Amino acid sequence: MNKEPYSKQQLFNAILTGGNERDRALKYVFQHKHYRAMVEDIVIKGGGNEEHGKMVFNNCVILLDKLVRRKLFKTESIDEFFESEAKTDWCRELITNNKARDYVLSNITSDKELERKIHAVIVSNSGSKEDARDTYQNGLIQIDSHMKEGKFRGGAVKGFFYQVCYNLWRNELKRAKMASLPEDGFDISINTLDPQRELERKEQKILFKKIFNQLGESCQKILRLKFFIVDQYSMDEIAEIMGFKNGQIASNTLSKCRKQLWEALQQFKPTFAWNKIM
Amino acid sequence: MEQDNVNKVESYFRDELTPGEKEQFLKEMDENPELERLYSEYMLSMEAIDQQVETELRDQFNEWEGNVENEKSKVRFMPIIWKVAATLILLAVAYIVFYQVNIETTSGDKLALSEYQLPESPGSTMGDGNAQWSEGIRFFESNDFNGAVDSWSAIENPNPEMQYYLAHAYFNIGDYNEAANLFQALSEGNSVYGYSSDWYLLLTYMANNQQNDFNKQLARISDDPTHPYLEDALDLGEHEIEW
Repeated sequence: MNKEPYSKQQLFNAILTGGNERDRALKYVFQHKHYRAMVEDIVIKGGGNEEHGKMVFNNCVILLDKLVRRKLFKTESIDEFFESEAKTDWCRELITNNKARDYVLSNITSDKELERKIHAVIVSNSGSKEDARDTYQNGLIQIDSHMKEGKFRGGAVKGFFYQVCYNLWRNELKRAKMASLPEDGFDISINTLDPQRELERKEQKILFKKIFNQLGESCQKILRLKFFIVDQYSMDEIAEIMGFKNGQIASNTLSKCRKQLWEALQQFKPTFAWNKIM
Repeated sequence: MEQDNVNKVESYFRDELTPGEKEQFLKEMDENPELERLYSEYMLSMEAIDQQVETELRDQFNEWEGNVENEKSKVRFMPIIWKVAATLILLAVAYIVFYQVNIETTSGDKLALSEYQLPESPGSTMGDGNAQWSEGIRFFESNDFNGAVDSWSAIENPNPEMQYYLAHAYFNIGDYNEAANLFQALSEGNSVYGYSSDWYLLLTYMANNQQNDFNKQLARISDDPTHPYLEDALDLGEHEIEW
């Protein structure tokens, strides 16, 4: 059977309805073989393994839910979303996850065909065997720092590594004023992800969870009612659910709870400030 | 004053501001510490909720993954399960015959109605410009299903969306035969309503006491391990139904 129970709009409506409808829609996405395979493929091409693919896929589903709940989903189609987000998320993971980076490096070094190809291009362009070996080693060091610095923007990591080595040798020839290799149009100077921001993001996640759990139960409940899904409930409806007399009381309570949360954050991080560009 | 700031911050987060207004808002925030603090409180509240939701979803993923594994193992060990099931059925029959135990049963129509969920209104996204469709939507949204049937059944060449909602309207006025005809056509077609129609067809048969059709439809859903309504259908099949 090749039928889709949800169009994009129906999927979004189900998520915005909340409750069982949201669960069912998210479960459908989570068990969608095509989306999952697409993400795994991107991660494996990016040097990861199936487990990494699974992790990235889960992150993508969480982000999809968040963007829909916040009414910030701007991508044309769900396919496009998974494709672009899988690349970004994997690159993000490579900034902060040392083990994942090591895995990618070992994946590259275990490809002997790639190593031979890199050696061949250097030796056939005025390089010795030793030059080839050095360039390959330097390439590994450089690709590791590119991943750490968010300069790897997804796609095939082995192709990226080949280009890194190619550029290294081209620059070497330029320096030695030997016949240069042609430009390949490959530019790794654009930094798409901010490594400092990625590290902060991980730290913030833990902190926000901790301070939220410190709030009283009713504060947690009212904040959830207000901020779980954009505009799901009016203040009068929140008052009814919370058992308050009217919307004004709900509004005042909400304000107090927001302040409490912010003050709790100040205790841990008095200098905390948001990047105001959303 | 606070309310003014709340309105500004909410408009900003709802993405309702034009680029110019957005710029103005960010500028004002630099000069107005109250507004900046409110913005920070909103951001923090949303992020903190998102962390909770993320944790819940990750737990949910594990559960769903477990379900997938269970479904796989169900298929793998089906012959053994069938043997065990057959033995259990024989034992149960013997138990009933010899000890005359009353088994609590549920009537099909009651169970079907308790499982049935009215889909959200289609809104006016598709079929715009069709007056009967728009009129039917208004009836549907006010739970006037007779009105919805009158409007939608008059549409010539209805598209799958129209058929799907008409089937629900028929279901809600208790005209299960018409509902079943429409759900069945959608279930066999290639529209996006296929899976949902499979499920609602199952409920329609149950509500209409069509035991044989119900069993066939249940088997049809059960044959597809990726069917999004598989679990619900299996749960439904486990009830002792009084036909």
